[in-house]
Amino acid sequence: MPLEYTFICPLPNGMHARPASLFAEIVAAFKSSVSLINERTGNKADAASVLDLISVDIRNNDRCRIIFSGDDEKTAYSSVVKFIENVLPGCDEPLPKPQSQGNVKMPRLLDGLDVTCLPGNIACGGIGIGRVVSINGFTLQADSTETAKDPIAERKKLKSAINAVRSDMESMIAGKLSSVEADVLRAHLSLINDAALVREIVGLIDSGRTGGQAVVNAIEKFAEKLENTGSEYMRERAIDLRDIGIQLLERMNIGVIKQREVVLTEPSIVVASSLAPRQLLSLDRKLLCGLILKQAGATSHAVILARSFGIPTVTGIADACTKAGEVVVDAERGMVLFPVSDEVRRFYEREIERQALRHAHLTKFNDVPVVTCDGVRLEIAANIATGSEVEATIANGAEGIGLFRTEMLFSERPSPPSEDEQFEIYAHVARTMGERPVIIRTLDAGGDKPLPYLNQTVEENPFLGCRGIRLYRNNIELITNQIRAIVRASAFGHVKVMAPMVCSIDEARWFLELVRSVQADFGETGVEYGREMQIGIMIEVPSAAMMIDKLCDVVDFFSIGTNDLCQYLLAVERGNPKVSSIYNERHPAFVRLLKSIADCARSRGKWVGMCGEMAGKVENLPLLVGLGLNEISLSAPNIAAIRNAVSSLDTGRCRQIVESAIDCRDASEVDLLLNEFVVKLAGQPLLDANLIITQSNSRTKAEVIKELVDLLYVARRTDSCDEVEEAIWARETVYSTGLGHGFAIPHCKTDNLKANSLAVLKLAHPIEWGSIDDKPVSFVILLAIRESDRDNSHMRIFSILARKLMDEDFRQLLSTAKNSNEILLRLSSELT
Amino acid sequence: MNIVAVTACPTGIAHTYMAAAQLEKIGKELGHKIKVETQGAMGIENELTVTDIKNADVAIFAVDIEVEERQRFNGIKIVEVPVQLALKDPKSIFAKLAD
Repeated sequence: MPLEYTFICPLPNGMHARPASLFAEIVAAFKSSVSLINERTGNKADAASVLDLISVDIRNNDRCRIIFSGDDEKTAYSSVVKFIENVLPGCDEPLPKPQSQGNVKMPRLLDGLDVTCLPGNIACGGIGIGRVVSINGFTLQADSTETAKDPIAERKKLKSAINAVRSDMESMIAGKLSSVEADVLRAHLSLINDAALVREIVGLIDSGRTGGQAVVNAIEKFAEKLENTGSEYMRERAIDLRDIGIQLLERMNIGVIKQREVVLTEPSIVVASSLAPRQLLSLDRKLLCGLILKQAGATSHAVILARSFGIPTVTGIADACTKAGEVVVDAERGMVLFPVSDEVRRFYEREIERQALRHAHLTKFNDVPVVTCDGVRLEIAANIATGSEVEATIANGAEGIGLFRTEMLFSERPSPPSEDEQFEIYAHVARTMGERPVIIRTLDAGGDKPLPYLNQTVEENPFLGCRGIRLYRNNIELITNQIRAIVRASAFGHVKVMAPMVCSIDEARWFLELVRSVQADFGETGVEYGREMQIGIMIEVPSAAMMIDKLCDVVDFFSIGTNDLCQYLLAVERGNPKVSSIYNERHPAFVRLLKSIADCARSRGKWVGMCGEMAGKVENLPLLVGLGLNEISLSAPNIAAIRNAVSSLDTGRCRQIVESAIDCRDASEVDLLLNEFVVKLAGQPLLDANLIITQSNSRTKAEVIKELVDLLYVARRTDSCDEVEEAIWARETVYSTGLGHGFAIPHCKTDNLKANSLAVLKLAHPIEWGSIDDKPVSFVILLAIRESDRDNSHMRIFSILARKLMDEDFRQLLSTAKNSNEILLRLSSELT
Repeated sequence: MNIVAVTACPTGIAHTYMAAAQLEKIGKELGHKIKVETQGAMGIENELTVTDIKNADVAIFAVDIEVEERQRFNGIKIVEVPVQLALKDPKSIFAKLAD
């Protein structure tokens, strides 16, 4: 007599993979058949199958009936009831919520057009237009012409493939460290062990299909079921399932590998749920115009790579754009737009052009060494993760490589790269950089970056466990090979080597001796290497930071890794959303620590660089200059802006900022300090020839205002065009600034400006402006002033200009000027 | 006539000063004695003194916002117009003074 039990699903997020896999695990221990009926839908599932359980789409408060029948039905009943009453309610875990997306505002010029705009998070700035190429949203296809010869052989092939994939996943689980990740992986693993799935595949083989066809058909059947549940979460499981399908097919030697390799044939925007670094590297970057990633944190490898290549990337955008054909990735505003109509294209092509102009404006001085305005040298270097990035860093104006993080060479492969393989890469980077220094960091695995072939054990707390240099003693051959490759490469350029995660003098000395012994070996065998190669360490553990004076006696240089150092100092894991808001590089305690490192090293004549994310933000620059660092290293696309900003800073003033910062009580006080300290562009006059256009083809008032603001953007007088534009429009809506006689003076007061500015535009064809005399406008002067500007001297010039504009002779003088220089001369002689 | 005037516009960047220039120019052309105080981004400039106001026959406010220290003008005739009018048709403002 079958037993029945009814329950109401207590899980706010429904029966997703994790509770379902626990449920199925309990049921699988019994011989009885246990089926579950979701009474809301009437669908029935085999409770021993995770896939069946999740595909009946059990949502919160759904009423479900379980039927037990078989020899051990009574014990099965009591175990399952115990599970449902005691364990199930605690199985819920909030699904990752879409990150809070700010209110993305459409650019004014696109307002009112029929455009879909999906807001996302900016992972790497820039703008790209291209055809959507979706990487994860694949379906499997089998060769239907193939015929099965021997079901027994096919079943055997299937069985060994399942075993191989299972052991692959198990070794990944062994390498994964947090319990959440391991649970997720276990849920994936349970998919491949799934009774219903295996039954389906075997059934298909027995009915005459080949192993490949059977896998494809079975996987697709369940994947479609999952997709049809209408839940975002289940759709993602369909991706997991198909991925398992691919792994099975690969293991059965069925040629699907090529399906996974995406070949771009035209300007493309790649859309992916998430992207493995290797997938990203395999794409043709000449055609890769943008990336849209559904999930990816700011520190994911795909995002780190995208940044170093300068690929416009927006994250946190759902599937809606995969069918869009052509899209715009606007990673300046954080959104994706489609369809790409003529108006959208015209707008964004101008945006791209304006960005190129701004970049060209910045890189004019790439070969000039970077110094502050009082002549103090600060080296601006680039962070790289692969050898192929090195050319782009030079184009971006890098004066060296401040951090070559070598983990990428070691990741996603079954065995470590050979010494020769590494040598080729390091030597290429060294040769390409020539005289410029290249700091290679030895392998920094562990923590969040486990490798299958390392002697590693599962740790409760990986960030405080065996990572960085701590792994070297147990993997001595691997690290010796890397150092051999680096030492050999040092013959071809200015190579330096440094070790990660050093926390004591002992470790530093051990590393130094290891490098020296490799050098000695080569010396004996006559292999060339750079005799002057400097040996340094990362400063990313507070204990090393506190012992810097003693470390100065051991190593040649230091590079401060701010990400880890700040995490360890504040005892905050950046990836943990519950505490990540506490993480702040501007915490006065952190600034104090940085200052003590820099002061101590400088007093002992040691070189100090910085290679964490703190170094990449222009807003932090006054602090970094004030600390007196020798070098900062950042991702390549930010270099031009930082170079430019350094030259406008005065070290004396920056030192005062650091002094005030270490006296602050919290990070928000440091924020205030830095906000007040505007990165003023040294000696920037109110107006220069770059801010004058004498033949504008703009067709509307909105286009004119945009064109004027773009001038400020290209000249780096603002980073926030849309905000400046809005400030101008806010004034314009009170009443038009058309003052009659063909003149208009749009103006704004906003701190989104970096420098007070005058911009001038003469129109080829007069346009409507809503002027007080109802006549069109052909001469436009933008007056833009910083709201918090205390100095009235620029405002005085504006007021003089305003008064003069009432004078007909003055207007005549301006409108008859033949070129920008004449306008500039006439304006400056009249206004000063 | 002996006239005092105040100009003030929303941002205090441009119209305040353009209006002041117009009132001074046209006032003089029409044979008046005129002093214009600007209340703009640089604060109050060319400030009207108690004596200036006491000696004046009339005050012109060419303003889009509240006049600062308005109480100074208690007891004197005030003609208030939008700033724009000082640009568009300043003469009409002076015509109103006789009313």
